[in-house]
Amino acid sequence: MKTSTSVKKRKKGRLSRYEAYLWLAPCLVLVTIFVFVPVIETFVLSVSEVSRAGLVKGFGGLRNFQFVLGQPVFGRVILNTVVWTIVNVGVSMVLSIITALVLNEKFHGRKLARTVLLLPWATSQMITASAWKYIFDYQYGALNALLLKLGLIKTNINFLGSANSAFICMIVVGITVTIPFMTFTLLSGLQSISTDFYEAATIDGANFWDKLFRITLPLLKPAINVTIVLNTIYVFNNFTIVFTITNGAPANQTSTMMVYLYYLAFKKGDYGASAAISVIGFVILLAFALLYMKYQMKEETAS
Amino acid sequence: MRKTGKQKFYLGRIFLYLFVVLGVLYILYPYFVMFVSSLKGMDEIFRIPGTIFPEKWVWTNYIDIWRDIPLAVYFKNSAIIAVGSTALCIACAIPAGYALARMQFPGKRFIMSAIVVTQMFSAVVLLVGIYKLMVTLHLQNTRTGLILLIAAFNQAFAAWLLSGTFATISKELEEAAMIDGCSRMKALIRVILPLAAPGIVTAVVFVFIHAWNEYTLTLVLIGDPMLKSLNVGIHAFFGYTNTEWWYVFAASLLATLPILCFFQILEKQLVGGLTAGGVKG
Amino acid sequence: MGAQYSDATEAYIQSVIDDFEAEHTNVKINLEIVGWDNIGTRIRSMVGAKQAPDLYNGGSAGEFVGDDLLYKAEDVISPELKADFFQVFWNNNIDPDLDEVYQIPYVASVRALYYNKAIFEEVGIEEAPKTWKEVEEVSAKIKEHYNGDVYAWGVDATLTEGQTLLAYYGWNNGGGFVDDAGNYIVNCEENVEALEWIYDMYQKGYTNENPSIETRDDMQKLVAADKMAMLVTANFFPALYPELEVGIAEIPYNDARVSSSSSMAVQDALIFFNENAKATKDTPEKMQAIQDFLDFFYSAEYYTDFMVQEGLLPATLTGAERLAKENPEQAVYIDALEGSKFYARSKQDWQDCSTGVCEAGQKVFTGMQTPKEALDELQMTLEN
Repeated sequence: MKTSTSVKKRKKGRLSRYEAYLWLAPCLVLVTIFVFVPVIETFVLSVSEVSRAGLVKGFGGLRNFQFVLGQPVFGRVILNTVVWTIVNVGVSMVLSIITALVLNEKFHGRKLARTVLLLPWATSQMITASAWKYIFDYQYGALNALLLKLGLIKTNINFLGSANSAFICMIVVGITVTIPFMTFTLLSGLQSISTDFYEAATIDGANFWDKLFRITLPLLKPAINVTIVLNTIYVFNNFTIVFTITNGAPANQTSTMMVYLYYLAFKKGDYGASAAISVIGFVILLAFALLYMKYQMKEETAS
Repeated sequence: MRKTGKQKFYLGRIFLYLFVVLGVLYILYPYFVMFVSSLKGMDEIFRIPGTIFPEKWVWTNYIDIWRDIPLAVYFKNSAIIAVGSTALCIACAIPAGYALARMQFPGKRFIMSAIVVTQMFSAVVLLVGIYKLMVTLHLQNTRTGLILLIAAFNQAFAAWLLSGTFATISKELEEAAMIDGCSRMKALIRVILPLAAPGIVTAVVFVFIHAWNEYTLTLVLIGDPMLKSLNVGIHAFFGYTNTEWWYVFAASLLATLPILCFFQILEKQLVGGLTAGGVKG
Repeated sequence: MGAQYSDATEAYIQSVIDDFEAEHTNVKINLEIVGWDNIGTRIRSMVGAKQAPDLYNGGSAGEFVGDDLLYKAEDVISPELKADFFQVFWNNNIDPDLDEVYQIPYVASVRALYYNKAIFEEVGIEEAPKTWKEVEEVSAKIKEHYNGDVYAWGVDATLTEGQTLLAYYGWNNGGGFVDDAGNYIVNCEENVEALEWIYDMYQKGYTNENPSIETRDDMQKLVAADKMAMLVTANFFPALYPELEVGIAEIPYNDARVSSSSSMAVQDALIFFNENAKATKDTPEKMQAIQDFLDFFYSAEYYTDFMVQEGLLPATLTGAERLAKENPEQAVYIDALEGSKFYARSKQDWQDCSTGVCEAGQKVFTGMQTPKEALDELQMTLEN
């Protein structure tokens, strides 16, 4: 009698130990087949000899990586990607914190303002980027027409004319589409902060800035961290904006890694090199995520 | 001279309204441009220097687009793909999120990191591999294939957000329900899901937007013109010899409308829902 | 699967297929039309997955022949069809390394110098320039007259058309892409000099400001808006802007090096994937059906109407005859076709050369490299 209950208990224990897998099964099956299989394929391609038509012709060792790293333009592409990601996420973060604080206040037209802010998120990036491409056009662009009408400029500005100015324009577009999701995540974080903190602080005589730096930002930190990690991944992986507006021109000087790997694969037909860049990009992102999490954990245990 | 509290309040309000007005104008500007340009004729779009408002309002552009491309079919396809992938994605993510929030099991850390890692791959990077896979499964050129892919690529975010949401809900509630004789599944459906509604709404919105706006995968996987989505279909106006901006913008604005309405309905829950996953996840 | 030339392409080809299927009830043809931006992406994905179409227009044989994925043209098409193609077109399609033909002409276009008549009249220029020297003189006049508000000359170094640099200017200076034996000569003295000349035009302010990002489409719009005087472009240009008064002339040449202008033709090709690229077996019946369909498609009536609709030119003798009869104003282009030079598209690494020239042009016009440096670098890459 006694043994049988303990066996039963153990059996039940083991079942519930593995029961989780049953719950996870649909998710894991989906992700394994549709994400990890192509991922493995990409890793295999990166160390394969791949023909012009895209067929694998055998093991190629690290030749694809050597080829990519040997391209004179690759340094610029990496630099672009880093600048693109850091400036985009950094500026968006600051603006999103301000926007979230503003939208957390009660004021006339708040509902409308929130709806408007959702627009860039609700519009497909292909459409947004096309619209901005048209706006920035040197000859018939809408922005030049507007500035001329307002008398702010005498001759048209060539926004997309040089690699640097085009890149700045694209970062502006990137920030515009990054802000909504960031702001709404932060806004959610703000709303979870109990008003008790502020009431106590007001009694203590704290002013607006004290409250901001002593209460709001520290309590918002978890939301900020999540937002930074997620958006860094999204912005780094963003392809549509640069692809639509400049497609890397001139001479890949405005390419990010995503656009460059697409160029290598589908303009030049070099799948091996393209896959090698995918792998390099993945390693960079993984390193960032690990370092960031480690740093955050250290800080948390320290405080 | 020190400002009084009241003065300070008004000063703050002025800055606030200024910020809001400028921000709103900035965000609306591209939509304004799209709208006025969608009503111009070809000669006016390419006039140098450009006009701001159309000289002749060509409302027929909005009729022409339905004739030039099968826009209604594209709408239907986009809707099927977006609704299908959102439903599938959430249906898989709910039990997964629940298991991650509530259960201890061997390999949990590994599975969690694996899910996070899937976030790091975008479809562009994996296009070739994805196409081969779709052919192996006989899913190329089908909406089903796209639905499965979009659901899979959004799985990580959804599962992670939902597990954050479930973690904020007290365990006692479902334990009480289970003592009352509910199975775990029943407890989840009856007790947890209603409480987790804001988080679920957020996940739904997030996945739905991604699905509605998906471009690259559809471009590569769908060849049949009657299966194209709105985004890919609109691309037909970027012709070999000319870009028909007026049609591009007219169709783009129409394509944005449904998702905006959808947002409008769910906006309130959206803000609440991001908290759970965002802060506690 | 074919490329989209205009938004009417798909409907037209489908109608040809419908007519063909009505005659051959046991044959079913699936059509797919893809935009130029994406067709390369799609075909490579399809080939990688062994799902290639039987007939494909959108790339060149060189991309696929190295992997033994293609039929020889003569194994697919009928001898009558082969005989109907212009000899220059057929010869241009011979793979110089394999000495075989793997692609047939699909559509053709010729390039010429187009000039805005209103601008020429306003400035008082009577005749289109024939030589580089005359181009410079005319450009200087235009620049002076409009105080720099109107560009005299359009240059394109973008990824879509940048390879034309060595065609428009290289050929007309005695250079080009390959020598008679089919070896690359991109860094030859003539090419360097040609690029230096056009770069000099750019620096003097005679051309558009951003050759590395302004595409042919952008510049065609500039010509149409009376903002650019001269542009070398394709024969479908005038039809796009019916209200524009344009003059047509030969592409100018450097009379210090060559004695006449080289006209330039571009052909898009049709290729035939073999069983290595497909999951299905090609039965003799199927191959016969393909041959029948091609005869049908290239028959003077259907083929020429298609070309007229797209503003392109037929590559067949019967087609040209019909076109000349029905659209006499197009006859001048047909004559130009015969003596034209072509890209070396049948070379297997043509894609590398073509994008390489675009990149070299972009580097030159953004001031990163001199013409010599850029072309030397490209030659080295191509030789490796």
